[in-house]
Amino acid sequence: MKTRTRALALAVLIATAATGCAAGQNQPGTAKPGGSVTDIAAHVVKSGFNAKGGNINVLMSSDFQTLDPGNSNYVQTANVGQLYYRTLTMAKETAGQPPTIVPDLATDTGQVSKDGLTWTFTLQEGVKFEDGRPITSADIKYGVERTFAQDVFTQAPQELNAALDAGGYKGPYKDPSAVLKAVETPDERTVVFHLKKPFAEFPALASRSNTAPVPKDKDTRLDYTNHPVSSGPYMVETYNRGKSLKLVRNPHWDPATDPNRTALPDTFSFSLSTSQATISQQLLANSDPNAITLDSNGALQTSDSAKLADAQVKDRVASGLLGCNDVLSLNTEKISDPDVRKAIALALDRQSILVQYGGRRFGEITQTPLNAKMRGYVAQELELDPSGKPKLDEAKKLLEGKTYPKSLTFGYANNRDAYKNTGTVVQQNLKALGIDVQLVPIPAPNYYSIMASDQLPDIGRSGWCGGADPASVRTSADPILGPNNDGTSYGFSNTSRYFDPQVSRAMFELRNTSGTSEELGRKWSEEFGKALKTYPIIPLIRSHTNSVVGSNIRNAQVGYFFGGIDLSIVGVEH
Amino acid sequence: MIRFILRRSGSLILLLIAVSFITFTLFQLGPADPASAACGQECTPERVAEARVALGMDQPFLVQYADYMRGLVAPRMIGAPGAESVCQWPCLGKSFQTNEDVSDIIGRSLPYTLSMAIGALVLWTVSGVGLGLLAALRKGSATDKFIVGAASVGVSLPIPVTGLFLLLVFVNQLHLLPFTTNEIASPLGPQGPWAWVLNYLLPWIALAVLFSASYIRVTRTNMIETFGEDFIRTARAKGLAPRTVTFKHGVRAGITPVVTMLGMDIGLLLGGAVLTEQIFSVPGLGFTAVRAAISGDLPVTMAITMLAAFFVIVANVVVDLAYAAIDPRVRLQ
Repeated sequence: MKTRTRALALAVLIATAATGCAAGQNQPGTAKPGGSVTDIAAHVVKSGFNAKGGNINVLMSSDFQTLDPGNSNYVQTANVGQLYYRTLTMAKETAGQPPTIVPDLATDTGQVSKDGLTWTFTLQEGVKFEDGRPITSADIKYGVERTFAQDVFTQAPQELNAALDAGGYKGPYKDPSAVLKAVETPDERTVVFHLKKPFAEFPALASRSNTAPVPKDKDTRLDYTNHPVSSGPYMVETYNRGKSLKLVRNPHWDPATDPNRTALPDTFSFSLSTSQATISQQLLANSDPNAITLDSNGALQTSDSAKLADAQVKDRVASGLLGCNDVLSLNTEKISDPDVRKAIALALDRQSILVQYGGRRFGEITQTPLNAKMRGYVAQELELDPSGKPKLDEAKKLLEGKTYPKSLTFGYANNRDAYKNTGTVVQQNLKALGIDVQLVPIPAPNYYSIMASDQLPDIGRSGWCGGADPASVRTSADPILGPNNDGTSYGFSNTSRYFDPQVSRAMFELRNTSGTSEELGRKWSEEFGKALKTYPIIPLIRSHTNSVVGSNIRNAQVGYFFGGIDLSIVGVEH
Repeated sequence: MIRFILRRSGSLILLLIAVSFITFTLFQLGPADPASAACGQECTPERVAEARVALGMDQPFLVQYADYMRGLVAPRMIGAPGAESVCQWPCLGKSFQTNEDVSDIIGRSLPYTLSMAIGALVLWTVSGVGLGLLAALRKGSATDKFIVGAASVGVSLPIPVTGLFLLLVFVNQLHLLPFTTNEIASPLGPQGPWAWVLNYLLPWIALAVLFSASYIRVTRTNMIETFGEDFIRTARAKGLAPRTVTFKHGVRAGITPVVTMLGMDIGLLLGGAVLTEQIFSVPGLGFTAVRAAISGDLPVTMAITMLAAFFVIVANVVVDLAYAAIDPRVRLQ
């Protein structure tokens, strides 16, 4: 699944950037003399707090699709999941930074064989489920097995599974006698994974919810969501679907085995059906000092943007850049000349597009969907203006004597005004090049299916949140512009349909190359940079999220991956 | 009377079948695809195929529809082969989004919608009919002009304007009322009836402002018309007390169109006041329906659509029956 988490996280970012308000006073971030933009500084609300106790009210506009770690690809669920399940490794968040992969249930982040095809993890001693039973390697393996049952769990995370040498394994339900040979459990504390190809970022894959332990005798399949058996610091006390969820301390969680979660509050109380407008008003007004939200973009509405700088509010705003980027994909089969694509990119007023996303408080203009925080990143500078201004004369010059399509379609997901408005900006900008752009709405839930189908528009927005490992170049570069599984064409999520015999071949070979993530990151950066310079995509916005919290909330940071308040460290004064 | 009720019940069932079929068909023909929505950005054709099996959408359209309708009369199995679960009667399916029984979702949402509808209904009927009657009795006076003017303003204020204004003033600025909470679904809950009233007061007022405006105008017009009729003149000529003429003879005859409106409005409101529930965070049927429609959750959309149709049709039958009771000139044949 390079996927859902990102589709998710992406959805986060996407839905995230909501609010409309141009850059103005009190906006975070500063411009460099050359016009490029520095990172927008992350803000953690009242950090350094370590008192246990109290209750945090989490306001949400809707219920979790699922709490089942085997059926969840959503960052929101991954965030709350930190409270009630543990995984072999963990993506530990730091505001504004890609998460660090640290050991969780395992004693380390895994030992790899020389050929890079086998990863071995050893479970810590003393880790237990909420009923006091020890967590064993069999529980981990069963958790992984369940995620192969895609005919039952439609949202099962697949990134880890795709890396495993699992043959045609289809999960434990359809054929209970089938065996998942790609995962071995030689003893109660050892889990061994066999991979199809080397994967330097495998420790990040092991942090995904696939490796959350599930006791086989407690597996109620789709109903497991009602009470997932806890291996983390909290467990489900009550869960009224669509209404409320109460998490209380798990008496069998041993903090000595878990330095990653501070688990400060005694309880978390989730309200699961409060409209976003009400959530944002409650938080801005501080009507509940113990409240936070996990909704996208802190549930903030367009009209709330200006209030974030108010004296009563600004110290309660947790904020930070996410790993999520929006780009425009140009259909390279329709717009086949790289110079024409470059001309389109140069003609775009990306500053105006940022305004549609809510201005500087909600994102920054980027030159690449990769970023300098990624391991092995090598800068790739495009000839676009770093501050986003159009270069119309250069664009027109590039098109002189060229034959190019005079009519293009722009597809947008119909769930957010910013997407349509981006299309309007593109429409206006390309008119100057003599290109007529027709806007085509696409149902939001099926947006990416359509982008991957023959109904693909000529230009479409696409989002990416870093994939399996947000600190890795590969897990962004490969899905965005990489080839398909046999290296003969463009990849499934490569919505610009970019395929270059040399560059795509090099990317394909990199997938089979052993090395550290840093070394491979450099190589991926170089190949991605070559592809980028032919403008199959036009980098747009990197998302910046704000989330207002109640005045009693402490250690509130916006996770780079989660896009919301990191529940593993948040606390409350009581 | 019994024949009438039986006949209307039969047509109710036929109408519900028609509504269910149309909803099901529209969903199938529409652009939304729940299977591809289930797996998102990495939705390979293989994953979509698996999701179709999981959602039961791999079957032909008519088979899916027949399965759905069968669930309305008997329990049925739902889910992928090897992982089926029983959906108890009345089976409205399981949510594509959360796998909950749709009947549970409806059961959870309905009390909120009822709470909102009942209070609003009382408020707008009392104020609408009362003020309409007052305006009719004082036709041409300053009171009449004021009430008619206020009604004109009320009828032209959409719920988002009234609702947000009420929230801004009474909750955000004056702090006289709390933000709506989903903890209170009925007056019989642990928080008691007073908390229930406070929780729903603003949505009641917002709905009452909109609805009572129409009721004022309709009541006033009809009452003025009725007061000019021969039988009222006769009643007055016979020396009946003005109160008796007004309420016993006038109101009973003049109120009939209001009853028609009331029946239709109750039916619509019980189907979910979408905007009001959204603005005031009331997780009722309208709130739920919007989410279901956006996310392509067919079973939930189907159930709420059918329920709304059911309420409207039943309300119509009740209105027909009420006519006879209120206005002796109407006779059931």
